[in-house]
Amino acid sequence: MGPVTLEALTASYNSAATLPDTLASAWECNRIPVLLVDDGSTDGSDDFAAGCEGVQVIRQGNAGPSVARNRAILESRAAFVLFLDSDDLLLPGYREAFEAALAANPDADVFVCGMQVVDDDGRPIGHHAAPSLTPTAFLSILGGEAVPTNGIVVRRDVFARSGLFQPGLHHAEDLDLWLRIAAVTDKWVRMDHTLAVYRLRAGSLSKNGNAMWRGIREVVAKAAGRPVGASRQRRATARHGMAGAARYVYLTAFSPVLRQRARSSIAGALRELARLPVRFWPLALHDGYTSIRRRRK
Amino acid sequence: MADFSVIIPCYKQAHLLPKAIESALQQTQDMDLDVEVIVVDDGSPDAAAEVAGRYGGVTVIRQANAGLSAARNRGILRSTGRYLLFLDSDDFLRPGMLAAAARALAQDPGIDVVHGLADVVDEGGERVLGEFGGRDLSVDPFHILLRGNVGPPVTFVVRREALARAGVFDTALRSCEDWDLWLRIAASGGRFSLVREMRSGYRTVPGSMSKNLEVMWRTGSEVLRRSVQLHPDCPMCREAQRAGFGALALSVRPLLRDVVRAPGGALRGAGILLRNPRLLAWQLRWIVKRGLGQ
Repeated sequence: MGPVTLEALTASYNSAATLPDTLASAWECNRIPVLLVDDGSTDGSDDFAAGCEGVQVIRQGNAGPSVARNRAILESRAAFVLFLDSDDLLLPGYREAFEAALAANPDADVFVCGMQVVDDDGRPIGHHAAPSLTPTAFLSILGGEAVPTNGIVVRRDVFARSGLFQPGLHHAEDLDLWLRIAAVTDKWVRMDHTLAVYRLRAGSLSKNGNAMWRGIREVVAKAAGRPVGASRQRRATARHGMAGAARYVYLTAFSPVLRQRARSSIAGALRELARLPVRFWPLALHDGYTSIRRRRK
Repeated sequence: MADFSVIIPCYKQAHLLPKAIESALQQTQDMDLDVEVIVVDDGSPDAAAEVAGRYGGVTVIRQANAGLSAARNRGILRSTGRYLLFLDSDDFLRPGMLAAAARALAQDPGIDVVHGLADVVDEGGERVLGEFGGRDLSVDPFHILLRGNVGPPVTFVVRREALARAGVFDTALRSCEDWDLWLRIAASGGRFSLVREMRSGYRTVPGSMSKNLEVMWRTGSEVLRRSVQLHPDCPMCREAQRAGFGALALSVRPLLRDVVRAPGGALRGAGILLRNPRLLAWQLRWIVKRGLGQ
């Protein structure tokens, strides 16, 4: 194996606004080299990246983020890789925490840490702890515990058994790969610190809740069918995970639309509600009921 | 960075490994090709890693047995070449095979896969029994591939980028995993080119993987089923898939005959057919057809 132990893989498409901070957080703060696959950017961000120290750039015609990430996995020579999206950040101490965890668990295949969610201006608005990995890594993720995309470090050889990102899946391709990795190896290690920063941009909020829901449902159903552990427990965990995913999709995609509609007309909001998958009706009605009651008080 | 990476997975075939490795190393002699040879010892109980280690310039990876797909994938992740060739340990390359591939790839940089022909050889590797490959995939490769695989893995050379779009070998498949990968590359818009000068040797060894009739039928059917989902609502797919099932049934027919002719085989054959009704339907179809013809 080459001298590089850990490398950050970045798929970038027209990300000139956020890329400088992202690259600095990897190389300047952590001395983690970056392999950046530029997915056909037209804003010059590829040339900017090529000029940065510690960054290797591969250019390709636009093919979508999954293909770009796969390309990076296939071109990397590092023993371990992490996926650093072009608008996310790593906190200082990431590499030290990883190296300490690797020294303590030299056999481990995957290392995972917690994630801080910030808004456009970098103000913290939320926090996710690292998944508990109990009873197994697979079940904890299937049950809906969030894996931060830039907070998971994977031994590159593991992709030989798990496969790569699946380009056909929208909105759930990360979850799909983490589940496949957890299905082939249970050697996951939890890093105790919060080292990943995820930027929840106003524009990056996915408006297409239906596509998001379809993607998650497909991925969870496929994972629940995998022969990992006892099938009853797996199915129960998947149901729990789906309930969590439904709440997440509702809050991020459907709820803002319904609220906006309800401000002008309740009837309009109800019509909108009728168009949602039935699964979301109780969530929406409960949401409406509590917000009306709150207003009355 | 090498031009070509030749990835050789090995399980229980250390005695055939020297011929495979030497045939790959020999490719560097013409055209100054930069060829990297990677042997993945897939937990082989014989001395596969030691045999491979005797050759200078060969990268040897050892792993606990994980299957053919996982072993090839492991080689892919460790390789540096722009183009990849999957050489099974019982097969070999004819001299000048990669040089022909390099010429074709240099001519048209838009090509993702070049493929050639294999001589089917007997266990000794000398006597040529026939030829495998040679179907042109330059137009509509997906539907042609759906009708049947066009050659053994040793006949194909793949550009690394094509795998970023299509993925790597599927570890869930116990056979036909190469066919599945070519189908995915074709479905993701990959371009194929037939290069007749790319010659290789494909050995038929009794008891090798492709001899297990039921595994082959089931995995082949699975590949056909999942592949048509890559092209939803395509009438050409449905027709090609039907032809694919027919070709698959035809390809396992000699194996089925062997099963039935073995002592006590009639019962086993009947069991296989009852477990796989679609295979039974194809066999009946041929019997009825022959009956009507006479």
